[in-house]
Amino acid sequence: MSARTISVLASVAGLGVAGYMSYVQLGEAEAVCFGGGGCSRVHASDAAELAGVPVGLLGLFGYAALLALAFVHGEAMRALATLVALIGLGFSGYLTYVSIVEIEATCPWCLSSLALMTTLAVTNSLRLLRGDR
Amino acid sequence: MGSRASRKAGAARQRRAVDEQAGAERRRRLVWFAGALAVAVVVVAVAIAASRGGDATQAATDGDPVPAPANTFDGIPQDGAWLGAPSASVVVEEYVDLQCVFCAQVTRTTLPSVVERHVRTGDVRMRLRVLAFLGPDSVEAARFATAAGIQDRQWEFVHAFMDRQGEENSGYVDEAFLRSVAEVSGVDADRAFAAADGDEVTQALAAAEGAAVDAGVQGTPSFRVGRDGEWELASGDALERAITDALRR
Repeated sequence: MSARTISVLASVAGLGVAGYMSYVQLGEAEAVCFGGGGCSRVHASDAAELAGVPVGLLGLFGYAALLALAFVHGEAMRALATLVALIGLGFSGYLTYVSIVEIEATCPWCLSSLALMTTLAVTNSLRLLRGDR
Repeated sequence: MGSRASRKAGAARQRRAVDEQAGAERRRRLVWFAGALAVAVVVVAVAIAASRGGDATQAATDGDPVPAPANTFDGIPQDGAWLGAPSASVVVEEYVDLQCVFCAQVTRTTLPSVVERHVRTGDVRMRLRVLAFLGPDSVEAARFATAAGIQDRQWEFVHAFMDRQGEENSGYVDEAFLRSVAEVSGVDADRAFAAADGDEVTQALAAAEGAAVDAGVQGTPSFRVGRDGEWELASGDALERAITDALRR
């Protein structure tokens, strides 16, 4: 399976995860929190918003951009996809740190998003460095 | 012969040219990657700074006005760590560490309505169980908060403290900070300092820690809702439902 195909699949999965997180945050619904996690605690915390924008919504934009960029050719576009994925990875990592260390709770949806962003950062970096189409 | 050598030399030149071109492309892609990485680091750093800038800690250190906690508890009987009428049918224990960020959020969002709907009406009596596991500043805060309980002002003090939480274990819980929180929460600071190192406070903190272990509390904030000897652990989100269930029993 090519790095581009993996990017597309991870972006689609990310859209699902971030879409659900946005729905929970914007609709003030209770998150289905499998694995005994602390989704409600994480979603109710200050870390759940950046400048007033729910992080789920930011993730949604990020995954949508990554999905679109997977279908656009050119080195500059691959660099842009890598940039978006690295930003997503950095911020997801920071949010995970905050949830575990400061809020003392973990949200499986957030951890899933971190795993997907890690995948996207790796595959997009490989696409850029190898010169894949 | 000469033409063969010339063809070989041409092929070698071609290979070198191809190699040089591939090398240049690799370098260019590396530059793209390094650029993307550098920009990503800057963007994430700015985002984290923006995220940190909006929290309660920053608001407190900036000197922003913090809502006075007194109104939440005005007119409700207090006795040490207890808040509410002794005749209440349901008891809610709240386990907190004063440095716990989420405890402060629950204090601001969930507790005022619980106090107003259930404690003020005499249905529920609450008990603070102050823990100190996050570090040295938690210990100082817990001792002083428990000493404030001797003046029956523990709830006001804890809520005022949480509105002013600083950076965890930065040493911010010093005498000046405790005095400033004491002042807004109506605690006699001199009396509280005198009691903070005493046996009564030590025993109360040990009892809170023992109660947390016995109750299976694994983090803060945690709530324990009880009626007629039946207890249920609840998170802040589930507190209202647990109280309603207990009141119906």
